[in-house]
Amino acid sequence: MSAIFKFFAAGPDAPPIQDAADVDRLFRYHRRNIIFIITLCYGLGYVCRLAFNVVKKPIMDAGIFTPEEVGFIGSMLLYGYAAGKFSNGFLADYTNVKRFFAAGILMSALLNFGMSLSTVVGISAVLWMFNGWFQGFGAPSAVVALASWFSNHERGRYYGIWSTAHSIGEGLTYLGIAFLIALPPKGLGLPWQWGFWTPAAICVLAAFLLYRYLQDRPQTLGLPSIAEWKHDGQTVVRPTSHNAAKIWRDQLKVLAIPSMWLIAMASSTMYITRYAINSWGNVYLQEIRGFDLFDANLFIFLNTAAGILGCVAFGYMSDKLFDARRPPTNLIFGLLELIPLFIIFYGPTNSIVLAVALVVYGFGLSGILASLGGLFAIDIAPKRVAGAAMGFIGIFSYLGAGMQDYISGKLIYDSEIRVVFSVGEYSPTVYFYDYTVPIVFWVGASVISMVLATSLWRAKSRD
Amino acid sequence: MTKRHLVLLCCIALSACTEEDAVDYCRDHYLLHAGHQDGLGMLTVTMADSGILSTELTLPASSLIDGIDELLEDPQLVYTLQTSSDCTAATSTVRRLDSTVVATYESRCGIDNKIGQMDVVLFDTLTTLEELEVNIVTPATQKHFAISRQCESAIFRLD
Repeated sequence: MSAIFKFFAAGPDAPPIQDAADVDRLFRYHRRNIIFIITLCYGLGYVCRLAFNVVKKPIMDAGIFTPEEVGFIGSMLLYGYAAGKFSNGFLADYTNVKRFFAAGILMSALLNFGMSLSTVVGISAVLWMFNGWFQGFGAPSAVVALASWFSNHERGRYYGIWSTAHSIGEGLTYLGIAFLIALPPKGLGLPWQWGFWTPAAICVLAAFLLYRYLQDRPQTLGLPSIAEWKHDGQTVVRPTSHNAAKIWRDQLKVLAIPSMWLIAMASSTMYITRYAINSWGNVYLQEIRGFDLFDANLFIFLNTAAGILGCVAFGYMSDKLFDARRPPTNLIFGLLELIPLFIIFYGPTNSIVLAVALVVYGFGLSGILASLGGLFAIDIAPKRVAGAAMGFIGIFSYLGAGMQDYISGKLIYDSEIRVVFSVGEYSPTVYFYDYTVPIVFWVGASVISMVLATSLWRAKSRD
Repeated sequence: MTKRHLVLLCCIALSACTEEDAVDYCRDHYLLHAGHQDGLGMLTVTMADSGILSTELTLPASSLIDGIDELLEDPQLVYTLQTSSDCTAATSTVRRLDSTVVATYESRCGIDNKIGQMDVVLFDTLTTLEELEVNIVTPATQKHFAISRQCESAIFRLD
């Protein structure tokens, strides 16, 4: 066990390189590699998280899992991810992120491969839960790499570049993996197992690239810290036993702030809608609206792509138009999220209307999520314990998302009608579902979220 | 691995991808369906909000056997329902239309009586029936597909 800890532990500082030209050259070389590789590989790693969403319908059509079982398996990833987000954030601070990140992605690849072999719900659920946990290695590792190699005054820009990784991953999954599984001529019509094999292969490649090009802290290569090299930013203070106890007490105070509980509930209910659309949206579009697998996933991609603009627009609008007050912008983005939801589910069935509604929905949703899961929460929490506030809200959010996946699957399964044809040795079966009740659950969650967020209209920022 | 090896590997992969496969009856059915569609049987099932299940079956001359009218008059030889409580006994009418036979059935199950499963046993009854085009409408959705004696699963892509 100690050999494993030793393997993953952050490396010791190397003797400092004395030649300033060498230091500059190495910093430039590694920084270019690192921002490129964490963005690319986090995006590639995302495919191993989302692929199950694309193959849900083929798996259900093949009678391998019922919607309830599919929902249960999907929810396990989110619980695993919530746990991973909590534990791996602490671990990443002490590890060589090059090895930690690569190992997480490699394990995720193996678990995806395992999923392609399993038709037993219990085994798939366990595999997918561990996949969620290993997926949780990525974000903290990338953030630690950003903190180690980019200074305070440039980190925002590079963080923005890294954030595009989500769209790379979603694009690859909702378009690329869907292309493999969709029937010709839009796709290759490969069996659903390819929806796990291909992500597994992609993640093995990503793990190799991470191991080859990501680096531990600059000091392990004999370089100075980024703050020294850039003459920018304060020294990082490591927690001592004295101030760690005080920080822990302050962290616990987050739980005593009523507004934090309201934000956590608002974020949790918004995550219900978010993951309902991302997990079940493409299945709904195929089952009820009659789109094929490729088109259904293309529609879902539109909403996730619009999300990038939503995040940026929310921050800009709340800062510039409302003097950094989040509640008015929460309300605007909440309505931008909610009105398209009604149009998607209860409006005209025209494809263009659906596409526009999904784009506006994705834009509004990302904005409100950026606020509830980040900006607004940090405003209200004491700045010293902003991390604890984010962790508290993150766990609530992913618990909501996980519960959603199971409840949605159960509600869909309750409406199932099977038409079974007896044809000699075969029994081809066609399944019919009614999404009326799940849609009320998904839209209702957003309504509750908006009401909760708006109830904090007078909430004040803390220093 | 040298660049030459990499190029060679890519060429092998590409040639494997472009290798022409034989047409598979089930997987590539959309290539064949239009050519034989006119000679197929057609089954239309409508499940209404009111709990009434209406079924219409049209069979072409090629799949007719002696005594077909009597066989089709018994709904149990066409389909059975699994519901949370009993439905009324299905009514049936069978008539000839040119060279085809058209059978219609109606089962009244009631509003709160959930239909869990419909078992279509027509292929067991009519061993001459090779393929059936099916259209099923529920209060929530509609699906159009084909069932073939040669294929393990329903065929959704028909054109």
